[in-house]
Amino acid sequence: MNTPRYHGHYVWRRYRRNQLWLKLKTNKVVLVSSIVLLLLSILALLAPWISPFDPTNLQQQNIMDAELPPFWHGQSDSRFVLGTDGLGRDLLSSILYGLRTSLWVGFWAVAVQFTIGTLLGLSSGYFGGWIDRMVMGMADFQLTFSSLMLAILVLAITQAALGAQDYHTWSPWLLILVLGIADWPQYARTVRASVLAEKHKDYVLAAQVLGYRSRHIMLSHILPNTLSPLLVIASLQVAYVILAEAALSFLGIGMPYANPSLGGLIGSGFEYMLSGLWWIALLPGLALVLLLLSINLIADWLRDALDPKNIGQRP
Amino acid sequence: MRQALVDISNLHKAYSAPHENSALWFRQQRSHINAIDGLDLAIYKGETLCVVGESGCGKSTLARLVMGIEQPDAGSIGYEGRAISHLSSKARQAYRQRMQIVFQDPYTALNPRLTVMHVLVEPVMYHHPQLDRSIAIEQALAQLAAVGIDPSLAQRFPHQLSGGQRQRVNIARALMVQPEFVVADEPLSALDVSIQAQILNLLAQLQQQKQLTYLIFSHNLAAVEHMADRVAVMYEGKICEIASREQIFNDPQHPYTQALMAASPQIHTPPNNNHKLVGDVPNRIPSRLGCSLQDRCPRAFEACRHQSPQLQEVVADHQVACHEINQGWR
Amino acid sequence: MSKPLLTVSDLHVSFMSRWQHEPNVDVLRGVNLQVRRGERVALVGESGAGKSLLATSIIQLFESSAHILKGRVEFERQELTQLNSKQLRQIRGRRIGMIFQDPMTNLNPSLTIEQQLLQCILSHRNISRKEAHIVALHKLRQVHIPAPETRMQQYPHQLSAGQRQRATIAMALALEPALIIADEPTSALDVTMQAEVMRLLSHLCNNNGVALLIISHDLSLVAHASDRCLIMYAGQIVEQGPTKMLINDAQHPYTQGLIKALPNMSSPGQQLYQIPGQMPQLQELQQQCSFAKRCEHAEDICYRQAPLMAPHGTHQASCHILARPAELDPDTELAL
Repeated sequence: MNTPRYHGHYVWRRYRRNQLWLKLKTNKVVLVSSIVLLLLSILALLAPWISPFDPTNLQQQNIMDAELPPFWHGQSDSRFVLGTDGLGRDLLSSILYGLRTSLWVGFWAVAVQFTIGTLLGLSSGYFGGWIDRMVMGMADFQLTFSSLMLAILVLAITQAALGAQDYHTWSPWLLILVLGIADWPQYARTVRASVLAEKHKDYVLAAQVLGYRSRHIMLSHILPNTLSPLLVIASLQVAYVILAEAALSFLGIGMPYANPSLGGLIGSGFEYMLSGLWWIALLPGLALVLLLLSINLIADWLRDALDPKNIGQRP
Repeated sequence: MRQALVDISNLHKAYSAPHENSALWFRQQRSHINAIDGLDLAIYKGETLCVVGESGCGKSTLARLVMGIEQPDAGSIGYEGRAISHLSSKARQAYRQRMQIVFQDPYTALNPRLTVMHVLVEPVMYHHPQLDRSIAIEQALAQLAAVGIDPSLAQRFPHQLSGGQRQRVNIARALMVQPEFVVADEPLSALDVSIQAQILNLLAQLQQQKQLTYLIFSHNLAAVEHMADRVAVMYEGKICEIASREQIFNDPQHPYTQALMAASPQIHTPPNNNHKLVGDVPNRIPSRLGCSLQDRCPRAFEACRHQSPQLQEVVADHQVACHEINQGWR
Repeated sequence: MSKPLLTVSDLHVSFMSRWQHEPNVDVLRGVNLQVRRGERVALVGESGAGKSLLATSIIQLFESSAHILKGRVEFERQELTQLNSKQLRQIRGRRIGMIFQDPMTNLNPSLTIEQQLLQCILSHRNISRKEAHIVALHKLRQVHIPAPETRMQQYPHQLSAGQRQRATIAMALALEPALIIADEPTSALDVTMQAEVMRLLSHLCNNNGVALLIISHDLSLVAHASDRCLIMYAGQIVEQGPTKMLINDAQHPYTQGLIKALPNMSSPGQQLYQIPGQMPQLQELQQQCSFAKRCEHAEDICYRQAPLMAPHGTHQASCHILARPAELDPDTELAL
């Protein structure tokens, strides 16, 4: 019925027309951030191949290798470039895997939020009536709670119910699900506002008169016109979700020790800070900061760059 | 008696809106505005019927009701004898391709994210998914040629086209599904004078080529005089006069029609002050008894305040809804 | 002959391009116009010709990206391009009144009519509130707004479009300016209202000796409301002269085309005359006659050189073909 290839084609052309590329090239800060993010993503993607050790394999670890400092320190071991943690696990490998986990959870959780929020918001705005009231009611209800609190609550209960072993097997998916469901209302509200504005325009009426079904009109005609603010929210949310996952892991209800995440590393390394073994918590922390900073800078820039009023302006 | 292609009978459509002067939001009275208030109209196959009216008369509502975008509260709309006003959306599908609409604002009528080619190919591919895409593209290119747009413009987005070009694309899109009945809601008002001439010529040409029936809403009397076979004058949700083009322009009967004719700018004739209506178009006061023109009509009298006049034949094929005329006071 | 009230000489206004690699767009390319005291002048052109920009350029209200390249705007013996913003503020409203197109956005929706009128009057005149109130009432009566005392207390959304536009006219006239510039004052109104408002504007200006510069895309509308008419095309004035003469005996091919394209110029059912093509994008213009591509009389010289404004009979037009001396093919419609 629809032609997905054509969709992508014209979306691409539209971005070309937006001269987004030109804007990106001229903004040095965002350019650097993009390169950093790209680098981190490549590292994360290739983690299983480029890590010197496998941090998920607890048998590889030797307690005798514990608490070794990074390479610039006198007592370092050449095998462990960034040192080891309290149980002898290589920090560099852990950080690489941690980046991978963060980006994985970040991406998928945002995908879930985006899909749920957009579909609900589209239906809510387009059909109105009881659908609208119901969806917006749910959204309002959910927005009164902090999504992080909600996530903590749900995950803690789940952990208690499943027991630690099962919980840790499923944690990545649970995190994606919970963080995904926690934050859909923002998308829904934004889309709904856009849909309400577009719904009365003549091109939507023309589509109805041409006999297109509602689903086709919503997805092929209205949605593309509402994408810009959604993309901005999504990009900001990636950073937020990564941070949330880090916080949850830090608190112990996120990723388990065996499946390292940046937050988890910070969490378990925290107790060593006072003993002077600063690298165990700080280096993963730095990696996390770098990741979040680059994402946030790009997302912030994207919001201005995609603002329709700014199309064509000097960057 | 010819069979009408589209037959509208006693149509009613009301909207509720908050009362203008209600200051207390929790005690807001809602007044019912009768956008369409007992409207009768017949459109015959192959003709161009122009409906003339100013803003607020209910033209857009009528256009939407005819196209099935909204349902009337009462009355019926018949197409080739079959009632289509209250069909389910599924049953309506069969009629959708036979009647199309061209909107007033060429810019908002096009999806800003879609190229011209996409807009034209989509209706064909949607209704005939098994068709090869290249055939649909050929049809689109043929349609572009028919409306006078250079095929090199097919990959452009709406904002890269001029107003006249956009309106042509709108017309092309409407024609892609091969309709027999085309409604045009003020197709010229957003265009420059020299472009209006081009579009008028195009519409006439297409009507001849494809045997189309037109229902055109316009307040541009000069264009109406040029294009119409019959003219209906609309005021506050009702038709107040309907006749052939010559009759309406040479011998308008209804006070409102006369006022419109007098007010319409003519380049060589200076405007005349006869037939002036008093006051402004009212802010849609909730419906009340009597003729809707009673406050502004220079010839209003007692009967006008009590009863709404009905369309009656004055001369052959010339109908007027006015107490003064119908009671033979002239 | 007394000095004209407003003289615009060789005005060139350009839009700065938003991108470094794109050239600037010259929107007004050497506009000359004059308005005498009490005269009603119509400026007619299609969208994209630059009429609204000309209006705002006269009162020096530029968008951030537009600026004057060269030219002068002289009003009541003052050179407007040289004045600072304080001096300009004293002229705007007080000596030159503006009426814009859209009555919905013309008036501040959160102030009553009275408040807006009073604000307007009191900011330029040193009179008491009570006196200003009386002046406001008087102006509203002049524009034939029924029940002005009631209307004064109402907000713009409670008035109809026609009444709002009349209130705007009242505001423009409130300070008794010497010139009113009206930019498409009736475009957003219905046919019956259009006629009313045009008539009103025209009479008020006539009766009070206020000069009127009315900008419109519709020649028929201003045909009987103006003394002189200027036709604008692609940033230049291509023809000007007394309105009646211009309409009955148009010289420039564009003006002729505009008049011939009007539906009541052809019999019903006949193909209308149409000017082929469309107004060129302003970036595309070079050293040639801007109308050459669409002109049926165009010749070689029209593509090589821009024509100058020259007198022909009762009015002036800029056209190479017209400027030629007597030998002319009797089949062409151009007359000398």
